[in-house]
Amino acid sequence: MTRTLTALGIGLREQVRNRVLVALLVVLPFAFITLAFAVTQDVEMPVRTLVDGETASVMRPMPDVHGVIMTPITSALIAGLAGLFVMRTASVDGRLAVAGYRAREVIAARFGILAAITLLVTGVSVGVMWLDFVPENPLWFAAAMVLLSLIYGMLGILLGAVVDRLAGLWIMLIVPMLDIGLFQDPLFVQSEPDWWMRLLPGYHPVRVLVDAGLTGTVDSAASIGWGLAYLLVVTVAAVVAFYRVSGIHQ
Amino acid sequence: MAVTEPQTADTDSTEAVLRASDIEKTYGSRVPFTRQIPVLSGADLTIHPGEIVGIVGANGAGKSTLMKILVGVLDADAGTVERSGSIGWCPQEPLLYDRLTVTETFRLFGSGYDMTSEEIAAARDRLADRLDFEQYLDYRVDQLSGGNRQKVNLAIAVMHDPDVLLLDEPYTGFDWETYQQFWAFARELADDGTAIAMISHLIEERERLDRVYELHDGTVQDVTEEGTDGTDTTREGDDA
Amino acid sequence: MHRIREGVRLNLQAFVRTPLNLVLAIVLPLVVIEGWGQAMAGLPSMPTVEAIPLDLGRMLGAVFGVAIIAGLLGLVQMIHARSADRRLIQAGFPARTLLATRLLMLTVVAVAVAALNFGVLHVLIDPEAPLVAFAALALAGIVYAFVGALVGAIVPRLFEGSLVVVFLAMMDAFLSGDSPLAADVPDFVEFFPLYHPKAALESAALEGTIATGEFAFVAGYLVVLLALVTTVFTLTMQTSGRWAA
Repeated sequence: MTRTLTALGIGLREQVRNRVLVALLVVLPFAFITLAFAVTQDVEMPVRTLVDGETASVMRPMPDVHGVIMTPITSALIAGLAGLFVMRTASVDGRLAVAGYRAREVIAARFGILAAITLLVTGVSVGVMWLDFVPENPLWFAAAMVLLSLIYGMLGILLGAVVDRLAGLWIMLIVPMLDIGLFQDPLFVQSEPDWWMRLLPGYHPVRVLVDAGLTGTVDSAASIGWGLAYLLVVTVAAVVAFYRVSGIHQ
Repeated sequence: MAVTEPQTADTDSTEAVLRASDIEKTYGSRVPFTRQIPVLSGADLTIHPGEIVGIVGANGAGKSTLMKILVGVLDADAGTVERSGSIGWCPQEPLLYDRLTVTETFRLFGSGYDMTSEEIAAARDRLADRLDFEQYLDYRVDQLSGGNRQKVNLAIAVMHDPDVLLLDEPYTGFDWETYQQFWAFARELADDGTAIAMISHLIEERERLDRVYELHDGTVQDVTEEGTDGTDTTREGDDA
Repeated sequence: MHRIREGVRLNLQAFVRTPLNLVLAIVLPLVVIEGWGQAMAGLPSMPTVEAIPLDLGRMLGAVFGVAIIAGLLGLVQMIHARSADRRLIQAGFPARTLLATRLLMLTVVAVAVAALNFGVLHVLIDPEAPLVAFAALALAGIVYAFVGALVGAIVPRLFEGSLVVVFLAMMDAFLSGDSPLAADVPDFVEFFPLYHPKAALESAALEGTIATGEFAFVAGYLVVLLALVTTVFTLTMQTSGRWAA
């Protein structure tokens, strides 16, 4: 435990010293989410969500809908990229293993750093969103945000381990936008999403985000469970990928 | 690839502390029409306590690959590596975290070596003095010159007084004095019983080595006798 | 000139040797363009919000896809070549020739990316004036390749730089896209990199016209970007020109 905490503490310190990154993690969500609210028409639009467990269309102000969608796009995108770049120190992590760190300790430390970045970005994104839009059920909303960001963070690690950097960048930049911003967007997809859209990482968390953000009751609680299962699967895959690529198997 | 469980090293024993047998390694993908590059094809090597062993060979012969397999960060395709005791590894490139200070780097790796805070501090101060980088202890790694970064790279490998020290061109960027200090230090460690294997390109260093292995065509040959009379045994086209 | 040609050829060769990059360069445009088109076409029509025709959504997807891919390539190119460029200049390679190689490489790549995206777009929407539409898309790519290079010169780290490029492209696409969901956007949006290329693309694809005003603006934009990239490139090569002690 001590080694894990040492590696985690020192690793976090290392990240915090990247002032450019820290600044970007705060400034970019602020700029993007604030801009989205500022230029969105204040009109009511039909939005697909769950009412009493059934898919229904409700009228909601556009700024609220944008808040519910733009905020998770921002957070997921940054978390996914952060996961992708966790792999950039893989060879040094391998040296930690030679120094005596067990694989699980290195993994716990690295994944812990990613979780910290994810929580920071999620917190900033939700905080900025809160200036213009307060979700109907804040706790559920926050839980779904964290879940979605962690899923994308783990996918970033997985991608960073299996493809080269440029390909990983392209994929991790476009997939969250398509997934959350288009295929899960309750404005663009007015009926229940097709089967393949339901396989995408954003399906369950965004379902909860829309429900918790825009309606008075949360009818999609089961989606949190499914989302956690999704997170578990991608985390296991990310751990295995990290383990194989980083040379920490001794 | 099989690896035996580490045992407590007996520095007085003539038993090898590191033994590699029939090591094979090929780089490349199994995808059709892509190139496969065989690097090692049955390499054998042993290192005993108290000796400084040199590993020489042409560029691309597989020296670093062999060393990574001996260390354990790279899996061989076949063969066994048996290790006794603790390992210290100084890779060719300084594998360090750029934004950590030198002191923090010692603390991080010292923690891995199960050293106490006092032991870490003592090792850090001793090595910083020995290799002349005390004034840089509070500098971040990315603020160091190449030579100083390499000094830290080496210091991290030896800070825990390992039983086996594996060094991949450890003095790259060293000034002349530090280079001499390094050899004096290496000899002291060997005299204390540490087994040292070092990848070396400098023919002049053969005099300082107890044994020399040459990596050629994927296998390792003990060429100690060939070099002891000072004749140049490098092949045409090899780097000196 | 020979050096420039050789430099461009070698860079392209390196890219082509990574099969996954090639696959993505072809697959991603298809996914982005059609995904954007279908999703935006799903927007319900309301009294104050017009429905977005499928083709318009596809064009926005094409512009965004070109911007993001070309922008990232520009960023990667500038970052990866940084150290080597410094060494080349110190070894006597003319800085102007080197920069010209880099910029020509970026232009070739951007045009190639635009060609792939346009190929997909052409199949889906059958533009009225295909060559002009392609020119507009290519210019969008070149603009963003230069933007990516500029970001790479200022923030020479891949993670941080890619964050800047992608958020820039997202905000740009959102605001420049004449989205019916957007209220009156501020006038300064006209200076966003994608605004005029997108307008030119729409004119060419939907009306078959050459929006000379839009093309002229983009040309001017490129000149300014060129000056900025040249300045920053020269400064970064000069300030780090000394050998490490």
